[in-house]
Amino acid sequence: MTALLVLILRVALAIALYAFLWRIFLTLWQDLKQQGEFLSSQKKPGIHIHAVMENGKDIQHRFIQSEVTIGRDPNCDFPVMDEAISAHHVRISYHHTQWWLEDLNSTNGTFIGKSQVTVPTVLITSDQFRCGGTSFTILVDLVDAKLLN
Amino acid sequence: MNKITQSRLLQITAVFLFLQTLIITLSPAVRARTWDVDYRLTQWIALGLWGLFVARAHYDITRKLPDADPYLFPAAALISGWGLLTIWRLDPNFGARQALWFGVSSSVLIAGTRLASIDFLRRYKYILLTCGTFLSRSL
Repeated sequence: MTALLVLILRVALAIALYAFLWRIFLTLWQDLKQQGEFLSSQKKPGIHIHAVMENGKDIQHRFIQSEVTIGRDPNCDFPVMDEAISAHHVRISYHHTQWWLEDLNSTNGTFIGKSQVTVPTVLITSDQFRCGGTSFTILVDLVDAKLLN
Repeated sequence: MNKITQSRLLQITAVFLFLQTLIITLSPAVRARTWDVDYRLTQWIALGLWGLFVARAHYDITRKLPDADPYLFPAAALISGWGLLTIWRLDPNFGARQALWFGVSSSVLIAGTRLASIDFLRRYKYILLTCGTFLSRSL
């Protein structure tokens, strides 16, 4: 009788030990799952680029990737056939929850209004910049601000 | 969330150690195959000490260090409590000594939760290591 009782207690002891390990595993798993869901919910807003060339021709594209290059090279994300634009003229990239404009050491430079872009500059919706003879307008998609934070 | 996780893990640990203590108490009866034996009861002191120190440390950690890792302290509490009871089962005298060490280390942990900065641990790490080594050897 005593042996049986102690055997039951030993089984309960083993169950308690496994319960401890299971509890740790479960909590860690839930933490990982929550973190994964949080990261997947961090959407970046798409960007709409509208280009108007000197001859009046306009092109527009919408991008959802985090980096867009503009230049004369057909391999650029947004190729523009303008002689005054360098092969890889400018990069627009999304980081730190904002879109940034960065000149890629172009020959004729990039300008916002009259000031030349020499350092990465934050872009907000409706901003305009000029590369060579082409002017670009940016429209950023609206995304739930809570997700961006 | 950390407080709840740590609290639940410590509850499971307490159940585990309670069962362990109960098994040690009943072990003479299993050996003699009768209920009419002298039961060992001193290990309940070890469990009581463990419960007191762990409860106090848990209270201080959750109150003063809310962002602390919720797994580390319960894991340390389980291993130290299990070890304490195992040593007590083998030899109550060694068990008492182990309980003393457990009390000292828990008191240091409780005092540590009250420190505003623990930079001095990094600054004097070799002095503390040497002192700890000498302290271990002296006992």
